[in-house]
Amino acid sequence: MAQIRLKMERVIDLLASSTPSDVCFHCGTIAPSKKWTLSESEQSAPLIFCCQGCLTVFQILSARGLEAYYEIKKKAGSFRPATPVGGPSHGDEYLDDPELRRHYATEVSPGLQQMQFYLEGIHCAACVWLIEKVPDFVPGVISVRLEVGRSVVSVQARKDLAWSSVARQFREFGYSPHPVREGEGEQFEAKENRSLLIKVGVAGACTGNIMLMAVSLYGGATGVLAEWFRWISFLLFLPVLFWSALPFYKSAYSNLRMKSVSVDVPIVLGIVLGFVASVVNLVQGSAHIYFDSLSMLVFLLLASRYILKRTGQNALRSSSLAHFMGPSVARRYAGAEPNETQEVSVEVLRPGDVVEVRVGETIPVDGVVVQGESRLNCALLTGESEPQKVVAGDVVFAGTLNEQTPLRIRVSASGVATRVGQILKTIQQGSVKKAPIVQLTDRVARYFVSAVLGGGLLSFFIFAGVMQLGFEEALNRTLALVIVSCPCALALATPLALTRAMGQAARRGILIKSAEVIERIVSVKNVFVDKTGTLTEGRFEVLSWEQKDQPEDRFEIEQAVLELEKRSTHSIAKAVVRYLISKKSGKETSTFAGIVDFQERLGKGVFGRIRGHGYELRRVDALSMNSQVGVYRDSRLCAIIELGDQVREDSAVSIQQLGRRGLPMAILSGDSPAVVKRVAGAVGIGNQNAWGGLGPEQKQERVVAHPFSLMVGDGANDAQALNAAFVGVAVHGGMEISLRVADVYLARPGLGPLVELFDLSTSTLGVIRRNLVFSLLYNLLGISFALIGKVNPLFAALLMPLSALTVYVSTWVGSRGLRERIT
Amino acid sequence: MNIVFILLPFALLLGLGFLGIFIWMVGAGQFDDLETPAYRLLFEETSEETKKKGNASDDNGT
Amino acid sequence: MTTGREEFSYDDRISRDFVVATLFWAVVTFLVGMVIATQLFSWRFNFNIPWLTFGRLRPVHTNAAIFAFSANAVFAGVYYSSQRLLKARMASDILSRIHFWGWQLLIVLGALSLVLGFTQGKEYAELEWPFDIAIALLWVVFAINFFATIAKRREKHIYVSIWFYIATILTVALLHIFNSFALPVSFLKSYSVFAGVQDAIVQWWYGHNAVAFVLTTPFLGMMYYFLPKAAEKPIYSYRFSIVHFWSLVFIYIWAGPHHLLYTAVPEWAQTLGMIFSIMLLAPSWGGMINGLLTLNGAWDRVKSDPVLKFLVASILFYGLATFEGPLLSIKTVNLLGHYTDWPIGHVHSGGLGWNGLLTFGMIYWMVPKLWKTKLYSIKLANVHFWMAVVGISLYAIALWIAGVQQGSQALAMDTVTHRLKFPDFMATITAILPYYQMRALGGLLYLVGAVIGVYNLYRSMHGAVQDEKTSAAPLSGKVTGKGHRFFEAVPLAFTLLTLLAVGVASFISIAPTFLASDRAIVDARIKPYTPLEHYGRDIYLREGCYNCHSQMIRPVVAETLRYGAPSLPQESMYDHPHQWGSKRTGPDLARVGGKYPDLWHFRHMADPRSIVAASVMPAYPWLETAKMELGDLSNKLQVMKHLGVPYNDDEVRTAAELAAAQAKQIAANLQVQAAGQGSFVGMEDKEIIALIAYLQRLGKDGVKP
Repeated sequence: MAQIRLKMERVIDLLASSTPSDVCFHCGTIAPSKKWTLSESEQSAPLIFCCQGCLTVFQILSARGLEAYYEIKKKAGSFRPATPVGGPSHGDEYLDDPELRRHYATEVSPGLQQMQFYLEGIHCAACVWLIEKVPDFVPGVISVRLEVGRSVVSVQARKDLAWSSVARQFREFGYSPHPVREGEGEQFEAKENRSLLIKVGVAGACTGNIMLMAVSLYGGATGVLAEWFRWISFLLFLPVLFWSALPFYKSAYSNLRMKSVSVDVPIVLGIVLGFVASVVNLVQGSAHIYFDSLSMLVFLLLASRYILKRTGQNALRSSSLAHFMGPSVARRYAGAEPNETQEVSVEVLRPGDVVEVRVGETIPVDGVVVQGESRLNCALLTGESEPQKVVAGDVVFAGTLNEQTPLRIRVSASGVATRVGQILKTIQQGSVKKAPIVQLTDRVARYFVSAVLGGGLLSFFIFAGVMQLGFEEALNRTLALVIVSCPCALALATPLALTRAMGQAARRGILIKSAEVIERIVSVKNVFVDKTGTLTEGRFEVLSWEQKDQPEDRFEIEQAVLELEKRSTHSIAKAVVRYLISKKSGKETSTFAGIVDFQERLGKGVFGRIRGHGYELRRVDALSMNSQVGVYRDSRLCAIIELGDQVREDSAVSIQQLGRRGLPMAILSGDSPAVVKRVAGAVGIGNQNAWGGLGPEQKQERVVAHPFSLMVGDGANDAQALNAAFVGVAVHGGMEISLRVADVYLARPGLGPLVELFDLSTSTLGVIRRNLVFSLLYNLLGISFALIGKVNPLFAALLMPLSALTVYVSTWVGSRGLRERIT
Repeated sequence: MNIVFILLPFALLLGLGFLGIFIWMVGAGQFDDLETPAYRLLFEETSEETKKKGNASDDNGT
Repeated sequence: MTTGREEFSYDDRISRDFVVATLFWAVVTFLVGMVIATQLFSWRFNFNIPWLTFGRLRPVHTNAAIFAFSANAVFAGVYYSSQRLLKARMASDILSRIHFWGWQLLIVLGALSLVLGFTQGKEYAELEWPFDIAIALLWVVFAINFFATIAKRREKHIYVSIWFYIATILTVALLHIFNSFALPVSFLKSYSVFAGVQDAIVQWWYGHNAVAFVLTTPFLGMMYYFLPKAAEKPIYSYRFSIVHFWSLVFIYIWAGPHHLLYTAVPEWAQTLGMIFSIMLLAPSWGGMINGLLTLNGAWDRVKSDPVLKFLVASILFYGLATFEGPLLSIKTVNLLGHYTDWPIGHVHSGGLGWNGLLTFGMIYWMVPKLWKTKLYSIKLANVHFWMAVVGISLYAIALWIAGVQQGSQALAMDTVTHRLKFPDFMATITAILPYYQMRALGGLLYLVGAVIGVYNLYRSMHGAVQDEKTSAAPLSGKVTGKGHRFFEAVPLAFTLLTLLAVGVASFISIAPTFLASDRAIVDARIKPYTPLEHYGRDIYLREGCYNCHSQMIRPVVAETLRYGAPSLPQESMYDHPHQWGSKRTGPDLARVGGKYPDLWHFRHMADPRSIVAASVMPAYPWLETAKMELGDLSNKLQVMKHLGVPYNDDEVRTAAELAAAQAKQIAANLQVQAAGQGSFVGMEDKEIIALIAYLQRLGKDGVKP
């Protein structure tokens, strides 16, 4: 690497002035104890980086003369917490595959093509500046437009350009790209958003102008002018009635067809009756026209539903859903050279192709091992944390992790055809439609409608019969009663509260897929939790080291074991290495020069001679529930290491908090019952609620057996249970399939966010109830005035915004209190 | 007060004219991304600045 | 036709030209402001010269402030920011040049015409009809150029500033054309098509929206561009700025009646004006908060960076002015504030604060970029800033006090005797002269600050000057020649023009029917002015008497006691244009007819101090010597007849003779009333006689049994 000529005078004083000692210079996260440092010139302090990735990106930026990145970032600030660049992942050559290009690239105009990428790590203004400079560094790229909200960049380039060069440039700048295809879902959603926005705009413009004419009428305009004002407000109300309010008619109609009543029914009732009454009065020249209140009602409700929809969508799209994006990559053996592989996207693989799976990679396809023996970690697929041994000829499934030696696998099924894909397909087709939770407001609306209709008829008789007001006046008052009781506040109560809740949840890394999930969470009766990855770290950890013999040589033995285990890739070996290094507080002292005749026997353990002693680590039959490894020196047992899947620190606390809410807790896991019992004990769940050795089907039955159950999980084996549960919660780091199927996705590890979700939901329900009370109060006020005949258009025009404002303020105030309680 | 007979139509003409432009713009996708423009505004660069940065870097083609 | 990135350059010369013009006209406007501010508390500064009296200089100041200072600032900001936001050079350099030089010529000739007394007598729109047409044409040139640039833009998303500019261009075109409907009598004389109440509503519909769409929307657009650029931080909530724009533009055009509260305008229109203005507080303060929150995290830089200081101060004054406005349009508050100096304080906290400081902040930011240099001296910029802020504060506070004092004294009633507490109008004015001096001091500070600023900027304007080059990909992906893109854009511009033309044409066809019908059912007591009185009214217009005198008595006990019966709407139905006025530096003249003898008026016009010792009114000695040109009087009455004023044909034909006869009669009266002191031989053909005839007629018809 050429000596970096850093013109860093501005950047250096930037460094001296602001960044505290151990913060990564590039991404600003706290650098771990093991830091990468870079010092260009003697007199300036060395620059700290948190990982190799950040360091290389820094060097590329300064080489390209793009130091301004750091200044812009400091001044313009960032809108999301930054994440370290991390180590190099797979290459980008797979993008040049013509078949992939057919899927993902679209032709914009002759000679110009476009492709969209999801970029991980977009977090600040300077990212926009950096990414949109790519055309200056990759010839052939015409324009790069980044959409910050969705972190999606659309790149336009010449026809002949290789997309891998563009992707490589993004990766060099520290953003790993995933090609993205605008599915029908997204296009349909975009079209729907636009048509709703137009309806809101039309309603807004007409409401504004009608209100101004209404104010003139209330102000006392008379004569020809007043007629003009009334007729023009009638004309302006027509687009609101026949177009903007369409969503209400559709949902009311679908509700009625299903014999259920939603809050849209009284709204439609109010609008139609109000319109009829106003037209009748208009034609007869009476001043009782309600076009302004009705159009305001349509506008306020439409606007609140649009905002709720967009908040929901934004939450879903945030960066933590990276797993959804783009195909994973496989190395296919091209026919020509025997062991030469070519990177291709998984979607392109056909049965019969042979792929190579290196150590530490997930197997992308179902297939048969052609060559090589190794150990597979199937925790995510089957739930067991105990690795399985495979040899040539064995069948393997997509989603398992290859832990020991590179394998060659002949593809038997890929993509949706794989076992995991099948599970997904069955779930999506047969996904049992969760009983549509009847929203609190809809339940209230049912009584509300009958009250209004009944009350209307009753009051009509009172006006006509008892008070002998004559048919005209009686009809007028009754219609006034119906219009005034039109539930603007009632309909606003829920969407406003849910919008606030969804927004706050998203900010806290809790992504809720649809607003009514919040109401479901409150009525959850019991909670099922998956073990691996949710309650536990999801990987092996050393629990204890018991010195049986030769205590005086303990230090030497530990050194030898460390030396031995460093050579093996087994997850147990890695756990032992982590344990021994952390015991020595990070200093690696390799006093032992060489190891003689090291052997690793599959499933048996490891053996090696160090300084004349024969050391061997062998599995001991598990007396206790965990797995144990014996340490033999010159074939004499001198220590036993006990290992197991360590429980997260916060799991116990979170389980306690959930328990305090009176929710019976149970663990469902594919792992051995013994291990599950131990974990249950550790977190304070009774043994009778700890079920081990369950397959995906048994998990689903157990969840379905208990009504109103919430399932938390992250593996493929949890997918059916998550889908069947009343509320499915997928945890950070889980399989792509579990994320797609769940109702809620926790972007932060552990169960802490789940507790916050419960708090958020219960207090949001409290806010909704309070809003409903306010709205009913306003309605009672309106109805009582209507009964005594005091209701005129001005009264309705004042009552409507007032009630909406009260509900808005109560939501806003309500949620503020909520924020204190959560943080 | 008859002037209102003229003022009112023109006021509505203009107001609803802008509504027409609003609908045309929604169709043209002007309101799809309302976050990035605020950032993109800050980064207009002149050719000199790009060139200065371009040739300052030693290992790319442009 | 290759596909790739196009190299192009921005037209920075036009921005540089408009920046220089803005600075030049800023100092001119502030100078004229200083002169008239001084004239308000010491009459000697009128120097008894016709073209220096307050009546003619105030319109020069107001028109200069809108058309010369603010308009040039807007054009500078629009030309600079639009090209960068749209990533395209202006569609046609020629149109830009025509627009620039045409506009400066228009200002010079316009100011000259106003000073020489050629005025339409409509506040903020005094320029005669040829200038109105010139403004309209230049505005169309600007519109074509601007919309063509949008059409050939290389940036798909139209930033919110561009939307504010679009709204400005479209709405100002409609407003200006609407308010300029006049029938010309000669090259530099015309009468407004509307009269009385109609004219008042159109005038203030234009008046308020000129403030809105010339002094607010473009400046908001410039704030949304220059503030983020100067603070190097994105706008706090871009989404809100879009909501802010679209919610404003759907219903904005209704505003206006809040200038006519408690006048002869119907009750409902006044209520509408009030409620609408109070509603305006929400979007205005939303914009202010959106601007201020943008500086989160950059407030430390405001201390050191003069540009940010100017921008932040301008946003704060925007908040002040847009709070004061709705407050003033509440009826009870308006009763106190209308016709006093408080609205003048409101106008200047907006004009000097919001428009002025934003313009200077913008220019301090643009000059180093346009001339590729560093600002000459940061210290001087800070000095300019503090002088400006102190100047505005002095100005506004002085007029708040003066306004509230004058307003409350005017309405003060002695509850026991039910008499006016301050019957002598002059005493109320003399009492606030010290505040006029304080205001003049504030104005002086602002002017000196501006001069320092201009000097500082002038010294910075050297360095390698050439258009800024950049590159971007065309939206359509096709790289096309320069010319082609212009013609591609022309259809869009012409559709807008046809829309405008259709609007104007349909108006002309339907207007007369509605206006005429308004006359049929009206009070038979009201008769049109006699030819001499009409000539006298033209002098009243020429000398700009409406700048200090109002002709609208409000239906309030105090005003009825002081001035007479409240003015009826029909009393001004033949006044083309209406002269209700908006400020009472002098007493209301709606019912001055017959209140004083002719001689009183003669002596008073010659030397106001001879009648009212403490008067600040300028003297008009030349009216005694200037001869009346009765030649085109019948021509003027013919035009009035067209506009619906019921003159019969022989009145029109013998207008000159009728005027001369009435003048001889008045001259004879003067001789009798003078009873020996001074001879009035040969006075019968002088302009003073016509003015006396007009003044003596004011308000007589309305009180006939």
